[in-house]
Amino acid sequence: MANTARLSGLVGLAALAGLAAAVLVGGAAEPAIGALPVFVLVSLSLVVGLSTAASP
Amino acid sequence: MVGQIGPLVQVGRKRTALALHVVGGLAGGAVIGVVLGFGGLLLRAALGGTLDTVFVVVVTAALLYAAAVDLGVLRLSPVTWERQTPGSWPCSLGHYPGIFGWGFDLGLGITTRIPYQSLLVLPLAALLSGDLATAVAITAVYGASRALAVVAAVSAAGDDYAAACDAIQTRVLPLKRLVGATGLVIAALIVIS
Repeated sequence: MANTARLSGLVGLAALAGLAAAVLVGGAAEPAIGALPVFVLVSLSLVVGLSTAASP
Repeated sequence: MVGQIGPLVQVGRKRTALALHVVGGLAGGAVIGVVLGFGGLLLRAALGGTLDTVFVVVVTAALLYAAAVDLGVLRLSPVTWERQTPGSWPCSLGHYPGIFGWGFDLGLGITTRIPYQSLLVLPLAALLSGDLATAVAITAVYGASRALAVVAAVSAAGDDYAAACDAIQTRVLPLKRLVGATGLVIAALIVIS
């Protein structure tokens, strides 16, 4: 149970950090490609990164 | 990586080792992001607003290809290479620098085996965004989250890393499908944005 909670906490932390990065870049830097593509690509980074624990 | 780093963190201070792995992942992602970001700025200077059109067309096409391969719809040999993080680093560089180096190497994303084709879209999108902050955000989040996934798996494994590796391996295919489906959704969002 404690391990599951720790796992969920770490994943949640990563998700929050990633989304915060996307909001900061999308909002503050005003990229030419638009805020939504930045947000979704950072989300993809998050999903791909969190899915690769098994990789060497 | 779980099978390698798991037993190693038992040697020294576990939290320090895992924290260094995450810092390494973040640093690796940030470094490749800076390199690609500067490359993107050069492209922006050369192409101007045309780069935005190139971004939409190329990144969407790459996402569709990657999603099709990851979902198993397109049965092509995936683009990948066999290099792995050198297992000798903790011996040759030292315990903590070696674990940091593993995180850094994995955080770079493109220097080790490519587990999902969708991963290839990330450096491509970072380059074609033509914006330094965007490039660093995309790659640094990847590096940090990949390292955090290893930390989460090691933390959840207790002392039975072999069982953790087996449990992860059984989830590789569903995770691949999840990544592929996410890529499809993101391709659609980029087109309509």
